[in-house]
Amino acid sequence: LDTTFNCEIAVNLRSEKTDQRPIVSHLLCKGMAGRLRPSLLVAALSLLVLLTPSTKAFDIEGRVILPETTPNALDTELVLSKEQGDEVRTFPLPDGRFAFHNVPAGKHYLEVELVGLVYSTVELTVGVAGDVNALLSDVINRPVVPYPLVLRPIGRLEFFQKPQPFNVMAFIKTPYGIMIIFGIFSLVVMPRLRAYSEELNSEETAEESTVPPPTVTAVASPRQLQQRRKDR
Amino acid sequence: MRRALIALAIMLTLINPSAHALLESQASKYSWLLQNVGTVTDADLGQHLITLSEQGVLASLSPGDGRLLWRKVLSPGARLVSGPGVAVAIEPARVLAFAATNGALLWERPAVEADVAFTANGRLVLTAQDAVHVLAASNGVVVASSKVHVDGEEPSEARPSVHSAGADAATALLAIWAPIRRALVVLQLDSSSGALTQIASHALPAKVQVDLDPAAVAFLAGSRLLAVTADGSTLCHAETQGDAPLSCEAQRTADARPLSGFRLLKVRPCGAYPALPVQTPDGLALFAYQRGALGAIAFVPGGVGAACALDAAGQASAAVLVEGDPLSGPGAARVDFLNPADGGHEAAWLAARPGTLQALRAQLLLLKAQAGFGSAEEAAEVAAFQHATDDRLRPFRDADGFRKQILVLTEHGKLVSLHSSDGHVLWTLTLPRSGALTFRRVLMWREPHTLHGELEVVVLAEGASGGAACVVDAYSGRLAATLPLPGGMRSWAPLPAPVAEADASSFVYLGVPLDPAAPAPVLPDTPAAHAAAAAAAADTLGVLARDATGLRGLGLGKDGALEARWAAPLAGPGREVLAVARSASRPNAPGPFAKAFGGVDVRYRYLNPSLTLVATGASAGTGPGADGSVPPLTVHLLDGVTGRTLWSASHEGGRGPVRAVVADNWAAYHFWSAAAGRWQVGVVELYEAGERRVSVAQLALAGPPNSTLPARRPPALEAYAASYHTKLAAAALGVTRTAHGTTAPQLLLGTTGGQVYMLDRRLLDPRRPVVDKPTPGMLAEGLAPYASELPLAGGAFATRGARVARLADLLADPATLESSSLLLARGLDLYGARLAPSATFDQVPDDFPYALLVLIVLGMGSGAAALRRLSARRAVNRLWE
Repeated sequence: LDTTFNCEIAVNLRSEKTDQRPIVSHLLCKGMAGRLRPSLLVAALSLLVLLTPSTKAFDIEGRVILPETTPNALDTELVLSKEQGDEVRTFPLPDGRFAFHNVPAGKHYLEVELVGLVYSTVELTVGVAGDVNALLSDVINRPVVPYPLVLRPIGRLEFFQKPQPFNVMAFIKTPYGIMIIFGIFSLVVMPRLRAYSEELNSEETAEESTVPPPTVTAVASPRQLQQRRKDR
Repeated sequence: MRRALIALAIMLTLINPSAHALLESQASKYSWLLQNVGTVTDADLGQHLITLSEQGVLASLSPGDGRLLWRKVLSPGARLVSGPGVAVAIEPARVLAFAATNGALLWERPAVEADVAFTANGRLVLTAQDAVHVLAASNGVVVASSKVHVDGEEPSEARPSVHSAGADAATALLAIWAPIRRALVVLQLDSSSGALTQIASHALPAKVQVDLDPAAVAFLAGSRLLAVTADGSTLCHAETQGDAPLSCEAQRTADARPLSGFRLLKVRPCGAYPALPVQTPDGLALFAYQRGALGAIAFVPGGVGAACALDAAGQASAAVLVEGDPLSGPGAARVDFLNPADGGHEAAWLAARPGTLQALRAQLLLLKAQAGFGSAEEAAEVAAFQHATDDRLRPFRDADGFRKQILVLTEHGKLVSLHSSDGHVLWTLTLPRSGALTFRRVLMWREPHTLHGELEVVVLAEGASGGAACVVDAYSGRLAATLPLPGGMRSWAPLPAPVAEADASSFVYLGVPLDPAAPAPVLPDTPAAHAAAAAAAADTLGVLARDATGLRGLGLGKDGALEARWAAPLAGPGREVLAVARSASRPNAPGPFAKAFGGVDVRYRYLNPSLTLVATGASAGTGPGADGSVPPLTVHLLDGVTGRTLWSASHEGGRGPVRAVVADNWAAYHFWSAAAGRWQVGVVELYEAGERRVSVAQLALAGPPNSTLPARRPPALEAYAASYHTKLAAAALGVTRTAHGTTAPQLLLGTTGGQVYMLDRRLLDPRRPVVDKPTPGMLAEGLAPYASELPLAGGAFATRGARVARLADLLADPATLESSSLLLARGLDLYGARLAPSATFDQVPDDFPYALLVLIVLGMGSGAAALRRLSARRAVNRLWE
């Protein structure tokens, strides 16, 4: 099975998507005449392919789900933070589809920016063959997202307090409600308490006093005087 | 489960309740947003007014009033081509088409060095490298494609520009600069089949050394083409067809200056006589090609762009865009307003308010509008009345400190004063500029001791050979003086304290020259300022210089030059300085000097106004070094006076970008953790250790101690640090500031998406314990159990539903009332808001029912009177019975 090789193998890694010139790596076998197993050669070639800097770039596609009640859906932006440090922004089509072009292999992060809705950050691992593995990086257990991506909102942000309907009990608990209750109490209840107190005081005074109190019955009222005039 | 609910309950209570207590209808009372489109460089005045700016903002404006209809923020340097119902933006690596009506993206296509033109039959021709495509404009579907090839030229050199001036509606013309032949080749494209036919080749005369710019070619409606050299100095013309050489002539501006070095905007065919806009530093020059010669037709000072418009008769004309200077320049400051009593300004303002009849009419119109019967004119009248009578908009200072001026310095040297209540322009001053000056900063210059003195600011404009300091009266916008500045300055640093004069305090600035051996100039160049600088020479001055090796602290030497007092070589190969932040606290309001741990154990905060944070490490996208490793993110807290390291920490996997803020005794920094794949916020607090620990009883009995400490003999410190995950990517960090520092501060996190999030400091407390059940001490102190994820609540967004494009800076200043802090978020837009970090505890709420209170008081009074009367009558009746 030993084979003698005398060859020149070119590994062409021309980019399919970019305009970059092809990278051609030459593996010269001429000086390797000897006992080299084909499996070793394949392994060497594979190692060479792995070690050669890849310039392949691919498209990342997906769809962002925008609820129908989103008033500012046209303001949606998608941000791809590349492993290489740069950042690319794009906009979705009205039906939510989006694409990033010429994305190199590596680990990238995709975020959806839309005021009022919260989306998970997607960690994208693009392989040298263009395979894309996606997972939600800020969710517990980092669930896998199928590709092509479908990005759904995980929450809605309420920036304002919703106006509450009038609540009688809540109003009564406010200082104004307490003032009104106190006012009603002062107007209605307290006079009765005062009258009861006066009567009680007068009764107690009458009981405790040995001297008969001056009576006002000696003074006839106008009605009594008028009655007396009639009697006469 | 129960413990988790308890922790959740504590977290929810920590989220600022005031942020939730705002109705949508109240938002405009506390905040405003000024959206900018940038410095407009290209526009189309067709059915829709579409503009594209230097900052890459594609926008649609209302032709009637300039109102912004929609906006897309693209890459700077993008170009605009408009067609029927479609606005096409050309970026360096892609082409995007938007619907002109609402800005929805119609299609997008990757294309390198592309050019686009519409044919008369509505097709779109797109050239990219050596290919040309014909697309349907509405959906971007490719109808036909061809390769562009010029005989004798390298295919990769073909960079055709495409133009719509074809022989008929289905054709377009392509102009290609052939560098080997030094000729302009013209191809005709059949948009139906994609077939290309060469119809002309015009050689460039040998006397013209500069190549032609293929993007600056115009085809006249007749049979002539215009081309301009890449440097914008020479105009060439020829018949469209044939192989005659180009006729070229160097051009000059209207004032006979050569065009060389001037920026040439894209030549826009506009009927039979195209306008050639040429951008100059002073304005816009317009040229027209008529009868075989080019002549200047107009020079518009301050003009920044030109567009082609069709008048009512369908005739083409050139329109000039004047003043596109966005209010998003390099500097901003918030200063006080004029005292209302001075000069009778308030009386004049009150006299200008609408009279009683006008007020009555406005109220009636308001009722009519609320009933749904009001017209647009009446609504505008009501709005004008409300604007004229709104107390928030008075142009004078108020007792609460809510009304202030915001001075914004633009890149083109305009100083604009805005009202802090709604952002409306109070005055505008165009600063004088001679030569190529760069306007850098707006700083305080003179602050009066009384309410009646003049407040002045200074604008620093720098140039290579020298600059100018423009002193401006902040109340009126009057240019008070212009002082010369020496050139070659790295920055200008303020002295630690202003110079006190009889009626005002004057600020003194020390120039930091690029040449370390050069003497440091003093601004103003007065004996008092020099004396103040000499007096401060013994100190480090807190001037920091940042270079590739790290940070250096500078002091003023005896020879008048700045000298390094200390150095912190924190950077090196593979490790760079990612962020430097200095204390944002005011020295006179550093906040509480102590904190009670667990409600009983009182510790002194380490309040050092020179506290400086330095973050070093690898920036985003940095690969492994020679040893295959990436350096961790390292954060140091330094004393800015001595350079002494007070605390440091290292984050494995931490990367830039890093945003940081320092306030009081704590610092926060935001970074990317490549290890976790998340954004993280780190926070550190410093306390004094040792015998200075006191009890609450001691504090209550003895009062606050003197906490002044010598910088060169700092006390032993206790540091508490923690880090948290956050979902928000930060573009800027800030902290709320209040008048006395007693209101609990909040961390302001400006996101890359243009929002500002208020993060309660208690949520960032590094002492949040890792326990399941909170202890009584934790409950007393309000400490929540540690959770790695910071909460995200809609009510905590200071920007609410607004978005500040390209947010870059947060400026928070205190109001007079302790509860309030004034926020200014700057980016491409400006956003102003009044914040209440700990609720409005010292204010009557805006929705306070004054009428109900009056009714209740009157009711109670009436009831008391009635009761008194009833009581008296009853007593009399009882007596008579």
